[in-house]
Amino acid sequence: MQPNHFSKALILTLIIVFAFASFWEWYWRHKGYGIAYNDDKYIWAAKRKEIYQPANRSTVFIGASRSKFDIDISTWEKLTGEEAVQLAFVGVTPRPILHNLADDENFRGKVVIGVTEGVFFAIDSTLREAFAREALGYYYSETPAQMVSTQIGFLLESKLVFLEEGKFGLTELLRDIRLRGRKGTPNRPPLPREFYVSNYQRQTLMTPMFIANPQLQNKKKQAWTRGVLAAHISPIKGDTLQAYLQEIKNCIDKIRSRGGMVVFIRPPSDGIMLAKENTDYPRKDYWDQLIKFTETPGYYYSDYPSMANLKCVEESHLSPQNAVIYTEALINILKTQKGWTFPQSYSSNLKP
Amino acid sequence: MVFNSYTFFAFFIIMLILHNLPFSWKVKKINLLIGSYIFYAAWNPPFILLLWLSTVVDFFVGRALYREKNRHKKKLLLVISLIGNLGMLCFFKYGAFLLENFVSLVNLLGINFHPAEPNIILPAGISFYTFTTLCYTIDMYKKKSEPVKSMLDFSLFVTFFPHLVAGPIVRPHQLVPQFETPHKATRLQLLQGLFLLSLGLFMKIVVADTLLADSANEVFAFSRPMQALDAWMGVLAFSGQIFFDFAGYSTCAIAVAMCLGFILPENFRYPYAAIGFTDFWRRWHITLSSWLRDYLYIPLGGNRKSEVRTYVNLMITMLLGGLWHGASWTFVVWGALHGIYLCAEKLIRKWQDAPNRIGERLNIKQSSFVPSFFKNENFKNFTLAMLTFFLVNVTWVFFRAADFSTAWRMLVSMFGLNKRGSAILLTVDLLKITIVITSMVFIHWQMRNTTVLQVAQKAKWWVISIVWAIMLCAIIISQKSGDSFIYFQF
Repeated sequence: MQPNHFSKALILTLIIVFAFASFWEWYWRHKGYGIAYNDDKYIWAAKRKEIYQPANRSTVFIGASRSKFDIDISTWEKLTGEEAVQLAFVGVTPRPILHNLADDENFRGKVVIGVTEGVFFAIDSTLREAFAREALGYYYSETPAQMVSTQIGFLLESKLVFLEEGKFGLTELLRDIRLRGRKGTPNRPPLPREFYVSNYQRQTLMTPMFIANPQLQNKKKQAWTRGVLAAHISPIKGDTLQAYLQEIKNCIDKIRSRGGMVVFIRPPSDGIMLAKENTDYPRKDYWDQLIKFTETPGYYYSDYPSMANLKCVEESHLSPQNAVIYTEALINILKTQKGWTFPQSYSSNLKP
Repeated sequence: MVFNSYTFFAFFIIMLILHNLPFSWKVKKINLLIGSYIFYAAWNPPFILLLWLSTVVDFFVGRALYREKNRHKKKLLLVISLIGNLGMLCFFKYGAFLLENFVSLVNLLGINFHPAEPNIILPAGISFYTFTTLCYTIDMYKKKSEPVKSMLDFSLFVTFFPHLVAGPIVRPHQLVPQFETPHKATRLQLLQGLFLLSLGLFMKIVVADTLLADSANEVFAFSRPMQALDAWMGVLAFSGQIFFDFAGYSTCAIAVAMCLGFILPENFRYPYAAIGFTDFWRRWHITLSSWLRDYLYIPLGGNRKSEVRTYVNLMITMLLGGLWHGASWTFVVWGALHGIYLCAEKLIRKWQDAPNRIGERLNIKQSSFVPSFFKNENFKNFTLAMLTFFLVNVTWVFFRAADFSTAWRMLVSMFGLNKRGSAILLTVDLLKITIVITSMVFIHWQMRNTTVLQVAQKAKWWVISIVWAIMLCAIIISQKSGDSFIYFQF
């Protein structure tokens, strides 16, 4: 092989690759997708570093997907003048992160814990917590090289749509192939790709495509019915529940002993999802017990007129517009009822 | 820093530019050395001290070993080098393992001893650079080659970033002479290097991480009995994953060095086309197996002593080779299985070569009842290669399993001893694994006596271009970046 042959091969290769990458980017943009960030351990670790900026003036959100959909980070930062750090994981109990914040002597900020009963009261450390533990492990072992790669990755993700691996990566594309299922293996339909995007603040937002499309919403509701609701996870009870509540209280006490503040929130849900949650986790046995035992303020959405009527698009999460309303209402409640102070003066005509 | 990361991409471009600027050869070598230290420190800066210590001690001990005439003093110097290198390896890699076994032993004897769990971080690449420096001091002891004249060349030999973290394990004569005279890649070398780098990244990012890793992880993490099909597919997925991961790394390392004008030794030669286990170890992790042969098996006596001693030497070599991979008894069993396979192969060959073998004594004529198709040499070899592949897969169970109970669960499932095992993998996963593994075996068989660059040499330029573009486009779609290579943990 002469060098000229390899040179020609390289030139043609670069032309093909550039043409393909341009087409790939155009294709997804043409389909209506915009810039989004991979909601992975790398961005989580980057956000985890922000809880000290400054240590007593940041508000950290932990919980499951409802914390990520329903809290509008920009609204929170605009109205409070404080740093808002989103550390919740989709479908994962906040327990490991709460432990982590409690054990971090340098953290003295505020914590808002989102409660989705089916996740919060499910103690399954091997499966549901695995992703949280992986992200925590990465946070503590991140190398300088990984840090640089992460920053370059964020820069590229801010320019290129197709770099959202969770949607357009080869693994995800292969998942779209629907073949006859094997007996005994889960045969769940894939989540609609249009469902949500995640931004640099790790806030999760439903896409306009999803909000405008009742068919997609129904598909998602079906996914809830088949997946979440059909999962036979028995609610914890009795001594196990008491031990769990004690564990949560210990963590909260540690944060409070350093001057930090903690509240629980129960964001809205609707329809079959709400009915199932009410059946499996009656409020008086779980939510009320949690608030009473941990001696921590809690805000259940239906107790407040400003939140009670917010509708979830697919029975579990708020649209971005409603997330702004919910966040404003929450700030107002915290200020007026619990004396949370924020650097930025805020007046609202929203009544809790 | 890993090859499949944005950081390395930026680092490599800087190194390429610096190496091609009109600096003196000494300045270029200093650039390479500083770059190699940055490459290593980007993982964990404090551990660079260990690398320095190992380099400085072995440089001076090696020189003294070569010059020393007094046999006792010479042996003492060798012992110092061995203790220094192996001591470091033992502490960081095997410290926790040794303590754990010691505690189990004393507890078994009824002594209640429960020390605090040691929190030792394994420095990246310690197993690789320890072997690199060890072979230098042993060579000096045996006066196999001249000591390296300059500290700069020796430091670069130990630290040269393409091979530093996960090999190929280089010998002094393979690399040091290349540092003594100016080296810069020719245009063809640079282009071939870039092609091989794309191939290595394709193997790692697309095949190992995207197509195979999830299925292998899912099967090995499954804590209940599973169907034989799932167990086999999980093991096959891992056998592909470990090959594409490690051979991908080696290909990247060779390619990166080639782009800078240096030649590193070959580390993989289509191992899944191996006919027997002797052949397998001439094709899999070649630089480690040849290191073990030259610095362990032969010094133990190799096959120069009695027949029994040959088998004992083989077993010792493979057991220690297994332990080199990780501080766990599962790796020892993996090594032991390979040792047994090698011994069995030796026995079979001996029997075949014996003039009065049973077949001849009984006067059995194979031709009388074996169809001619089966007498085809190629078919026979392929059958033997598939038997080797099958047996290698059994050993991978111990290599991948976190503990013996997982390994046992896998083996029980693989050989259909579960009456009611679960189905785990989706149809699409089964299809994916089948296509990848079949293609892998086919390519290994077709390529067993050639190399990628030899094939590229004969191919039309546009064919190379299409293959190259497909690999790069697949990398772009796969996107997985920054996942560590499996062999980093060793």
